[in-house]
Amino acid sequence: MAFLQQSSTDGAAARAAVGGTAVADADSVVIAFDAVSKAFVLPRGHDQQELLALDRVSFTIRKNEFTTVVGPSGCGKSTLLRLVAGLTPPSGGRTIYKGHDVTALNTDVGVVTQDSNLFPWLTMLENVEFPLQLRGIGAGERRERSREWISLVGLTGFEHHYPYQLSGGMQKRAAIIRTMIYEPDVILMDEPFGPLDAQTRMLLQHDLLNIWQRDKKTILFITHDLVEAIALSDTVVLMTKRPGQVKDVFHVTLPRPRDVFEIHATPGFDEAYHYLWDHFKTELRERTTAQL
Amino acid sequence: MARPAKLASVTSGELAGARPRSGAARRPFWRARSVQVNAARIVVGAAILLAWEFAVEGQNEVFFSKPTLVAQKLAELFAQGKIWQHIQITVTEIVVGYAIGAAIGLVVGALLGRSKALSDIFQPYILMFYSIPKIALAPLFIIWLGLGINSKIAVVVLSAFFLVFVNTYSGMLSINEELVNLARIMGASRWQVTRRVIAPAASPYIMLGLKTAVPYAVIGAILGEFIGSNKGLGYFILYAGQTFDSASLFAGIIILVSIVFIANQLLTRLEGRVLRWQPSSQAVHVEV
Repeated sequence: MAFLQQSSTDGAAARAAVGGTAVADADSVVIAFDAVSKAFVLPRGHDQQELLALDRVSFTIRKNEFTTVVGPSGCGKSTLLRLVAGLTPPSGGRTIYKGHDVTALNTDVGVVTQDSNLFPWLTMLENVEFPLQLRGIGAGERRERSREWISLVGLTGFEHHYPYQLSGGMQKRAAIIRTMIYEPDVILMDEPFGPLDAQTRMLLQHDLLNIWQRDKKTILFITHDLVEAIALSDTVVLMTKRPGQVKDVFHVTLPRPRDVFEIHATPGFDEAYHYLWDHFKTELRERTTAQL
Repeated sequence: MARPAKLASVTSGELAGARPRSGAARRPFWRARSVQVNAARIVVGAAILLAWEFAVEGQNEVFFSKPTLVAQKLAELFAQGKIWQHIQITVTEIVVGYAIGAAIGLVVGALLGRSKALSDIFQPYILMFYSIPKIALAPLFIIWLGLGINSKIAVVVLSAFFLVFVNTYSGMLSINEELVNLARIMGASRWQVTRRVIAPAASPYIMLGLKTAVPYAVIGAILGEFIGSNKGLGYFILYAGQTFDSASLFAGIIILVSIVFIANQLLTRLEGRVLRWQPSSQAVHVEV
C-alpha cells in the first residue's frame, strides 16, 4: 500500500532539493538547512572540548506542510529549531528562511517551547493577548480574538487565572494559542507535548490538528515520539544519534483529517510505524556512556 | 467530534490557595491560625514587658529603665513637642537618602545585571567600596558635606544603594532567558522587553531589595547622626545615653522601630499588589 512515500533516502538528495532542482516546486520551500553543523563548547573538566550536536544536516521544509523531526535524545533536533529561530548561530553551513540566511533573531516565526514559558506575572488572558498588545492592537479586538482562541482549546473560564493556578496541560494550551493568535507564517514547536501525560497529549494533538487545519500554517515540530510524528505530519525527517545527521526523509500519506484517537487503527499506520521504527531503533543501539 | 467542555479538569488541589469549603459549619474564629499566631505574639510580648517591669529594681532603673517609665517618658516627649523636630530631621534623612540610593541601586543593578561586560568590569570596585565600613566613611562625608543634613543623607544613600543594587542585580540574573527570547521572537522591541518582561520578572527580587534596604537606611541615618550631629533621633539617643537617661534612650529606640515598622508595612502593601501573581511557595528569601 502506498501510504508511505519515501521522498529521499539520504541527506544528499535533500540537499540537492535545496538547489531547487529535484523538488517540483522550489518556491514552496520555506526553510532550508544547508549542511548545517553545530558544535557546543563543553565546560572544562570534560574529555572532549567540543560536542558536535549536528553534522552537516540538509533538508527542506515546505510551505503549508506539517513537518516533524524525529530522533533519539541528544541528536540535535532542538538545535535545528533554535537555528531557524535565530537563537543560536550555526558552526557551519547555513539556515535559510524564506530565501534569506538566518543571521539574527527571527521575528517572523512563532515558537512554542518545551516548557510552556507563560509569563508568570500575567493572567492566562493577558498571556494570550501579549503578542497582540505588542503590536498595538486595541483592547476590543484583542478581547475578541483571544476569546475565540481560548474557547477553541477549551480554556474558557480560566482567563483570570495565573499560570501557577493552571495545570500543565492548560498551560501548554495557553502557550500554543499565545503563539497562534498573531498568526505567524511559520510555527516552530519543540517537543511541546513532552511533559504531559498520554491522555492530555492526545487531546492536545487533536486540538493542534484542528487549529492547523484552519489555515495550514507551516509547522516544524520536534518530537521523539514516532506515533506522534506519524499522526500529525506530512513529512517526517528522521535523525541519527549524535552527532545528528539526516537519516531519512519520509512523506506520510495517511488521509487527512487524521483521527489521533484512532490513529493505530488508521490504514497505513502500521506500515509507516514499522518502517520508521526499523530505522529509528538502529540509532538507539550501541549507545555508550560518552554519548549520554 | 464531540468533546467534553473541560478537557483537563482542574481539581481543587491544583488551584493554589483554594481552601476546602465543606458544607459543614465554619470553624470558630479562635481556631484560625492567624488569630492563634497573633494571640501568641501578644502573650510573648506581654511576658517580656512584665519580666522587664518587675526584674528592674531601684538603682537599676537608671541603667535599664522599665516599661512604665519608658511609656511615661514617651508621653512627656510628645506632649512637650520637641521630639517632633528630631523625628522630622531623621525621617527626612531616611526618605531622601533612601529614594536616591534605591533609584541609583535599581539603575546600576539593572545595567550590570543585563550586561556581562559591565558587570565584570565594575563588580570588584563595587565590592571593594562596600567593604569599607560606613563608620569610616561617615566622617569623610562630614568633611565633604558638612555637619548638616546632607552628610547624613549621603550615608543613607550608600546604605540603601547597596542592598537595592545587590538584589536588583540578582533579580536580573535570575530572569528566565527563554521568556526574553520568546518576547523578542514575538516581535517585542527592546523597550517592550524591558518594560513587559525584564521588569516584572525581576520584580520579586527588586521588592525584596527595597524592603531589606529600609532598616539599613535607618541605621545609616542614626550612624551619621552619632558621628556628628546636634539634631535627629540618633543625636537624641546618643545624648540620652551620655546623660544616663535610659528611659529616653528606650523611647528613642521605640520611635525608631516604629518608623521602620511603618515603612515596612507600606512596602509590604506595595509588594502585595505588585506580586499578586506569585504562589506563596515561590516567595523570594532574604538576600543580604
